Amino acid sequence: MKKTRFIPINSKVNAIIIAALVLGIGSISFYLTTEITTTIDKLLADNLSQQSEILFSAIENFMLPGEAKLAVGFFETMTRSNTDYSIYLFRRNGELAFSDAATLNQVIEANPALAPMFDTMADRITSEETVVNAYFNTAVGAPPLSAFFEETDADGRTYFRAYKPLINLPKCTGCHGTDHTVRGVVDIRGEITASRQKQRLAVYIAGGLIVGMVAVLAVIISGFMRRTVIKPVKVVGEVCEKVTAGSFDQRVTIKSRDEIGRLGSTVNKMVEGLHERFELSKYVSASTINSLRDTKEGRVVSITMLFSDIRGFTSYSEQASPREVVENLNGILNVQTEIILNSGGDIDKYVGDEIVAMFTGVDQHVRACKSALEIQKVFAADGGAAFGGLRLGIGINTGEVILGMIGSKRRADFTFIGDNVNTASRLCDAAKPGEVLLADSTYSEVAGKAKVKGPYRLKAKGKEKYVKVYLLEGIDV
Amino acid sequence: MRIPLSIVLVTALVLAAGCGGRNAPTHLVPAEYLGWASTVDAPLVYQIPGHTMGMRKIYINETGTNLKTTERAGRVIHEYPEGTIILKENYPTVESTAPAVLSVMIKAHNDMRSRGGWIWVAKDLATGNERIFSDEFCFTCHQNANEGHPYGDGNPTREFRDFVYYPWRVNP
Repeated sequence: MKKTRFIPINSKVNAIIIAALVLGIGSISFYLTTEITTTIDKLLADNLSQQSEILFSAIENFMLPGEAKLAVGFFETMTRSNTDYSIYLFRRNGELAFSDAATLNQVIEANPALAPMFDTMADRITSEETVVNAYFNTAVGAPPLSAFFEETDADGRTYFRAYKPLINLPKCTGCHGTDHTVRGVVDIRGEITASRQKQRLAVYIAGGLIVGMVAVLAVIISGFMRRTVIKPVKVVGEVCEKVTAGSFDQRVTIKSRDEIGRLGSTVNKMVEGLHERFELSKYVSASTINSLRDTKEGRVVSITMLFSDIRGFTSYSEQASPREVVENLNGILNVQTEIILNSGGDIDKYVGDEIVAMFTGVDQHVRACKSALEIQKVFAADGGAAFGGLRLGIGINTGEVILGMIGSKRRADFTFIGDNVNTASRLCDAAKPGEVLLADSTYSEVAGKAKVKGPYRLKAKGKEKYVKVYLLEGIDV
Repeated sequence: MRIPLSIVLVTALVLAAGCGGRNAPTHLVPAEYLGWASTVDAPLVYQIPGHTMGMRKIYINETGTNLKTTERAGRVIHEYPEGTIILKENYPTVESTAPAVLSVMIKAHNDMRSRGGWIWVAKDLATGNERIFSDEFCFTCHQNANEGHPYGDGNPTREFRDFVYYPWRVNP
């Protein structure tokens, strides 16, 4: 049979609770955290996008003829006044606008009359910074498209950044020519490091809270389950184990007024019922119990009957006190009963100082003989001193009997009747103290194993013919 | 557990319809436009930013010829009716005999893809692919049509020309 590993219900319940909490709370929290983070990102992005649109519209107006220097000043002011925000204008080749006079020269060449306007631009040549990347290429591509992205610099600072193409509008072509679509790219950058850190911190806190909550809830629920379900079930199990071992004085003590409490009450009633039945079984033979389990109808079976009777018990009972009589009789019956039961026999009834037993099944004859010899051996020790000097006579017969529930509706015994029963009883009557008489029917089954004397002819009461009997002296088991 | 075939089929159809809807190609540019009127009396051959640096021919559908002209606060307002299509053929060179790209304005005020009341579409005739420009590129440039600009008559009186540089005239 496949061996199964015992897994305590406590472990299963804990596993289910933790799994449910982690999956339930964890997934909801993960979803909410992700959604909130995404929403914050989108809000930041939308906000920066709107700001960039507004700034871009302003910058476009700055880029009117002769006003470029205002634009540069505006960019510088914005960048200096707001550490989280910076604006740069790049040429379409990635060079920082106004880093040299190339564009001014181009404009002046196309419109010499504008030259005086740009006299003061030379001192604004401040940088040789260039920018060319995939996003920038998108902004100067064909068609030119705004690029919006997130980046982290070498110092770990995070930015949302917008590249917006500055279109070479028809009204601009007079100064800037018609051979290009994009005049430059406005780079608007907003720092979101603090926001990112807050989001990250929020995620960590949420994660910590989830772990803490799962742990606390797991402890609470596990404790609750242990107290209300697992511990009572263990108590019920322990009681059942003790009842199985034959101890019926155990009771389940569960005070809860729920299903578990009802289970405990039911188990207690069950134990009480079992106890009653167990006590009753002492007064009822095993064959009676089996017959009640199977059928109450009478049937013919072949069994080996053992009758044992105390010799001289009547005179003994007249001489001894009632207490001594009962004690000694019970002791004698008890010794015989244990030997018979240990040999697989069954006590049918006690009739005064007589025992009526039966053996069924395989080797019934051998076991009956063995039991009889063992009983006689016990009572022969020290001349039967342990039992007030009383000795037994035993008769054994094998044959068919009628087995059934005999009696009235109010009181009945499961016993056997028939002529073979009478024969066994007669053999018992005929056996002298310490003797075991076998009927021929039994001997024929144990011949070769049993050491006997005889056969003898016995004139039994109620029998017209002599009965062939043997005196059993030993048996090989 | 067996899943009824009908449920599988319906699910597959719904998914297929959903996927098809998402990836459905745009078809806004009409194939037959050569019979339409032209807004210019001759092909445009000068350079302009944003379009092929060759030659351009501009057509307008019949709906567009019914533009409404009014005056508000002393300013002339031209407004093209819904459904107007102005189509610009872009030829790679002056010598080219066939256009490479069609730049199209479709008047559709209530369309989410429109800017300034127009859907701005470019059709690559080599691939047949159409692309809608919902960002500022086309729209920003054509805003200049509503003020003084270097094309055509230059809009000297700063009329609102509904983003069209060469407005419809009976005799352009």
